[in-house]
Amino acid sequence: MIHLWLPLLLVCVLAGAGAYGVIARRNAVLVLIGVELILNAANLLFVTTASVRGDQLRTGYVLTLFLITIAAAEMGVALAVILALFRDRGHIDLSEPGS
Amino acid sequence: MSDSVSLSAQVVILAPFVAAILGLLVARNRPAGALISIAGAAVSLVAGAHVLYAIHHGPFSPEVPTVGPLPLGQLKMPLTLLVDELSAIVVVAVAIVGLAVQLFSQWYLHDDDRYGVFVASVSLFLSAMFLVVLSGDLVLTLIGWEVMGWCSYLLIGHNSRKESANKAATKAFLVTRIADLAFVIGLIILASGVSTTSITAVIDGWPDLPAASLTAAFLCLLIGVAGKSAQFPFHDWLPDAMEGPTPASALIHAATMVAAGTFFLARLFPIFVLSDPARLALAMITAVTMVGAAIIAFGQSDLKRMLAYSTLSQIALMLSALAVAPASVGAGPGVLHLLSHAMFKALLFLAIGWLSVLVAGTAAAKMSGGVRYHPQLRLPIAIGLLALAGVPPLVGFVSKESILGAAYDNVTELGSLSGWIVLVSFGVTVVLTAAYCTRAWLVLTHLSPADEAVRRASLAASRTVVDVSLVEIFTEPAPGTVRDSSGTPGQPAAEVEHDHGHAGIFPGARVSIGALAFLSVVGGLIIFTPLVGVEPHLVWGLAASSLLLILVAWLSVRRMAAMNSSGDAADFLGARRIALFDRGFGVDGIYVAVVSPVVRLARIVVTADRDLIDASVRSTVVATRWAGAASERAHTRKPSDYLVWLLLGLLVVGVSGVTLW
Repeated sequence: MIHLWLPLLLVCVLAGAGAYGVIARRNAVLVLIGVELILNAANLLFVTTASVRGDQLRTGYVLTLFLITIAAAEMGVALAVILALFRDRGHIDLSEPGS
Repeated sequence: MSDSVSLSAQVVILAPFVAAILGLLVARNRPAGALISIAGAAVSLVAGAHVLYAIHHGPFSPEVPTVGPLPLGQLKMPLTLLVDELSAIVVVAVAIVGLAVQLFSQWYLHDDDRYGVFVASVSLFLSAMFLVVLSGDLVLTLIGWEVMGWCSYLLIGHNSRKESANKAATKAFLVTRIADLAFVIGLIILASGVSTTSITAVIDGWPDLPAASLTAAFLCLLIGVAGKSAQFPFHDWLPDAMEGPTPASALIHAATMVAAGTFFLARLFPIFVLSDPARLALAMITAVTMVGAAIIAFGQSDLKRMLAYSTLSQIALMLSALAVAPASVGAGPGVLHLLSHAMFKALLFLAIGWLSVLVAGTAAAKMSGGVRYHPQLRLPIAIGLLALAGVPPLVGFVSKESILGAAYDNVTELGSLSGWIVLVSFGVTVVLTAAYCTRAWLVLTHLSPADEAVRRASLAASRTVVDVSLVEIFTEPAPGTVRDSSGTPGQPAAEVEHDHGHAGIFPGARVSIGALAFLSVVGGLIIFTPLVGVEPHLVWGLAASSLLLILVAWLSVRRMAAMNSSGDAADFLGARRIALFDRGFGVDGIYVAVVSPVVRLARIVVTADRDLIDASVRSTVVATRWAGAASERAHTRKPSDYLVWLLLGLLVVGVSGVTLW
């Protein structure tokens, strides 16, 4: 069993990179990738803690599976929104103020 | 017996009411409207006559139920009618005048497209008047009183295409409305004192209650009565009301509505007599009105308006009788003058209305010589004017002498101030009344020199005809071609209508004028019957001196008239003064002076409301908009800026969660 600080560090790096992507990126698709990174950081945190705690019901793993499914669906919706945004504005630059 | 009296009393009120509703339904059908309206008035007359007959021949119950008492807890409201000698005789008089007016308007308004609406309003008006007269409950009185005010508005404004008629109607409505406010307060005081609205209970109960409240109630009621009966200072609506068609003037502004105030006070006379301050107030009001209106009447350039002012003066006379009559005499003299005035004033109005159709106008200049050209009017107008002036043995003499007797009794028995006031103003009014009657007669019989020459020529030409009056008939020019119609500019033409092509008078209208004339002559005999309860009682010295005064007035006005080529004694005053008389001495100006501070106050209130109260409410809107605009400007519309804040917030929450756990 590896030491716990390695996966937790990865969680921090993933979440920080995701937050940075969401805040600093102007392209909507890249912002979406940032969101996805934060989600995966959460997944990793679940798996990590589940393996440490040794839960009877395997809650951490189950929730991770749920999250992956929901994230996939959410991604579909978000991409559709971005597509609609592009059709409306002709670009997907989020720094431009809306009308 | 008593049942039939009750039924008749109810029919008296309901017949014109039903006629009014049916009349409105068939307003476009002239013959049906005429039939219904005349039938309504006739049924009331028959029923009223039956009541009058029955109550003098047999037992009857004075309290007649209507819709039954209203359950109002503490306050009893029986809503009954009160049938007695007083109401029965007045009902008959009103019904006679009403029937005469309905018959007359069938002819007078025969080419008016709103005839149906007019007679329906007259019917409703009659119904309301009967309700006031027969009412045994203050609430019923108030209902009739207000409906009359409304009908009067409708009838004055009948000729609604005319601006002046609309104005006159609005003025009448507003003035009587304001006065009615006090009237309602007075009624409330009366009713609250005895916890019932029944008039008999009010009369029975109030003598035991404080005199100060009684005086307060009657002072309020007097304001309402002064408004309805057109007494000073509310009198100015009545002359303006001459804008209405002449039959309406005859009915409302001479015979009935203005007399409602008199009737109401006569009804409450047993307790009115207890309140000396109120009686003194009434004596002063009526003294001012009777003298002032008689003076103004003399200078009127329009004969119909002259009659209106004479109505003011005569109503003041009957009210003054109530102000001075000792309790032992009762309200009889006032009611007697009410009856006689109804007869002769309706007669005069209808006759003047007839003449106005023939000469196309009511201005004195137009009517000049009227009865010479239309001798069929000589007798009715002469009777009316003689009765108005109070010449024996006409009805006006009888009623005026009874008032004089009442005032004399007051002075000799009580010696109160009001008795003297009324006695003196009565003397002045007798002279003035005789003066304006003489003036009107001389104007109506005047022949200009040119006309006189024509008349002499035709007299000479007709060798075989001896009777001068017959010659006058023969020299009557064809209708429509009569007289030049150029009135003197600046004179108020109260009524210009039907100038050409009016049909000859209908028999019904002629009969109604004849009947009124007959009653004006013989009506004085009523004093020898038990119908009004006035003892024939003549104060010889006063009667003789009033006759002397009438004679003096007659002679001096004749002299004044002879000095003018126009034959109009009022021209003696000069055109400028006549204009002043026509404005009623500028009483309108007083109204304006009273009203304008109120209007200014209202403006201030409006400004305060708009600029202070409303503005503070509106300012919240402005502030909210401004705050919205400011926060809109502060918004960067970039998601990333706010996400930074969001993450920072999360960090704070997380850190504080960890550290404070």
